[in-house]
Amino acid sequence: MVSIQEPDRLVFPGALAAALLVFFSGAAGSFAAAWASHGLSPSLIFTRTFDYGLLASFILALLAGGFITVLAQRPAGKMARAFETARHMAEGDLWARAPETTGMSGALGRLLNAVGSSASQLLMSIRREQGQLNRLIAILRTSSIQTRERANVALGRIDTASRAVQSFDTALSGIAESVENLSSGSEETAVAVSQVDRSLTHLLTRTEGLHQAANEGALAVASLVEGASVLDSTLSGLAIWADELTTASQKNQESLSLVAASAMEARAQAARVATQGTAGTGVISEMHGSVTEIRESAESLRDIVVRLDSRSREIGRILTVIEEVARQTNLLALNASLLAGRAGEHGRGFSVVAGEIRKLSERTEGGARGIAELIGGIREEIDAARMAAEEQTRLVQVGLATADKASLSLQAIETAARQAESAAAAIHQVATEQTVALNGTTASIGKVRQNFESLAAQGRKNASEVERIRGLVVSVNDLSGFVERTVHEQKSAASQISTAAERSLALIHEIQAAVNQQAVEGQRLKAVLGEVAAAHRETLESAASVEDAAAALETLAATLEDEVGRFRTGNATLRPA
Amino acid sequence: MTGKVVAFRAGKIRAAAWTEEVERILPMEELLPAPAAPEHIIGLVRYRSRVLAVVDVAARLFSRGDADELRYLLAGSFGGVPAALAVSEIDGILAAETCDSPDPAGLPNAMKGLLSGAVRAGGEDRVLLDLTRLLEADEAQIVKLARPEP
Repeated sequence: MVSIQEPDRLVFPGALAAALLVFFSGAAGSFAAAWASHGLSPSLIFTRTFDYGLLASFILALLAGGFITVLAQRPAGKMARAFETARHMAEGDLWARAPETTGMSGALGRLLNAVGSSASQLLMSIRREQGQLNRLIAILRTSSIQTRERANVALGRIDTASRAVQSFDTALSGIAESVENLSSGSEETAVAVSQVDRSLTHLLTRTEGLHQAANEGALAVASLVEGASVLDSTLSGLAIWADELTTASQKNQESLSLVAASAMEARAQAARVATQGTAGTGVISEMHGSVTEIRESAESLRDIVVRLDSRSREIGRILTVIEEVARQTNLLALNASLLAGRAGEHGRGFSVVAGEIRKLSERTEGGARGIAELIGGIREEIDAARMAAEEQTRLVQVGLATADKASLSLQAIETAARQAESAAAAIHQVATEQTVALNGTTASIGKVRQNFESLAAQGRKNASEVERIRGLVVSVNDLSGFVERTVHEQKSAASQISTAAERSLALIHEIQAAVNQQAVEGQRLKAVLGEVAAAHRETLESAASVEDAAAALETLAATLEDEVGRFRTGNATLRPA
Repeated sequence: MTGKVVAFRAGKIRAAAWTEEVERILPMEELLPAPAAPEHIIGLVRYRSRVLAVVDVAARLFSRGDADELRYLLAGSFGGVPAALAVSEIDGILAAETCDSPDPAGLPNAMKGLLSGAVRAGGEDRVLLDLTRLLEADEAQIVKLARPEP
């Protein structure tokens, strides 16, 4: 098959065809002319007409072939250049140009040039569009990378938010648990406050008993004072009597020289001494009774003091309970404040209540501590009173022993006087012995006198101790009144704590409702975050798809660039912008 | 930064910790023995079916006075380490804001790295303890004590 890109090859066949056509046309004409002139016979081919005609046809065929060859050669060269231009264009040289002469080749050249220009314009457009395409691919890839990074960041944030929501959920669970604990703690506080109130009521009853016991103690002390006064006057009488006895003994000594002469008088004197001894024994017996009363009073006072000590210990135990309750309330209030602080804005109101409860518990603890200090002071005073009472008992015992000794001495005096009376007759003979005996009597009376003085001093001391005990009883009375007032204040404080605990319970229920609401919101937020995360994961997949598409586009653009790069539209090969 | 803190005293140091870090304040009670523990881990305490190691904060900071009585425990999970901090006194749950760090008297320089700053709460400056770093050195010991092997 003849290609249009090779026009030279058409010249020879065309000229041969034309020559053959001319030859066979001339031969046919010669045959027809010979047939016309000589008729149809075998010798026709040997006629001159046919032979000359055939020769002329051959010559004409040669001429026609040559003419056609000559004629065809010229336009075929232009066409060949045009075809050469078209070939260059097909190979990519769009800058190639065909000659724009007349005739068909010129028209073909113009057509090729127009096609070349159009192709150049088209390639320039393709080049511009390719640059735009490259920029768009770059933008697309950058955008997809940014989208993926943002989606990753968003996923990270969503993950963080999910963890935060989870932590929030956990914190809410903790808050709920703590609020539950707080609720039970508040209920325990209410129960503890109720117990404190009962303890305070009990303490109040005991305090009233203490008050009554103090009044009884005051009465006993008054009785003791009276007994001490009686004892003092008795001892004074005994001292006077002892003085008189001494004087009498001295007179006896002075009149000893007269004893011998007046034995009867001595006998009477001895009888009087015996009588005085009997009276002294009676006085000593009375004194013994008074001192016994003093001992009983002292023992009663000691019992009162022991009861006071027992009551103060009981108050101390109750105060320990109050301090423990206050300490636990303080701890509860601290934990409530801690939870309220962690709850943030929701816990502000509760924080105020917890603070007030803590202040109240601190005031309770301070009050209890003050009472404990007072009770400590009272117990010190009670210890002092108990020691004084014991000392008093001991002194009374000593007084009793002394009185017994005095009684024995008086009995001895009486016996001696009786012996003196019975031996009055022999006094004269035994005047010297009597003087000795009288000296012993005088000495005994002196000792008795000293014992009386000692008893009087002890009685005065007892009186001062009794006065001190009376002061202590008054102090105990005052302190019991103070304890009573403090207990009333504690009861008021317990009532306030109870009211605060009720308010706390109401607030705790509100916090529980808020926490539940927050839990629901947290679940909803978690669901929304899950949806957003799923959307971002889809975005990530889309971004990956876009990146794949951008990569494919980039490959296509590179292929297009290679294809376009094969074309040349000017001095340089086309390259994309 | 502002917020609520647990204001407490550890020995001679007035300190504070954010309320978010402290889970519960407990009274000091009789502790279980912690065998082969450092001196400042003074025992173990049961808390909500868990066993927590009790760390004497003042002893850990080497500012423990002989007369300081440990009265309270701050229970919580500090940097993921469950523990209870023994302190002398709780001054309250107070509103606080961060301020310039003071130089706490009696605190060795080596221990100042365990502070994360200072806050002003209740009208006075307090050091803010970095509880995570405070327990960091003993974390393995605390975790081992808190989860004894059967």
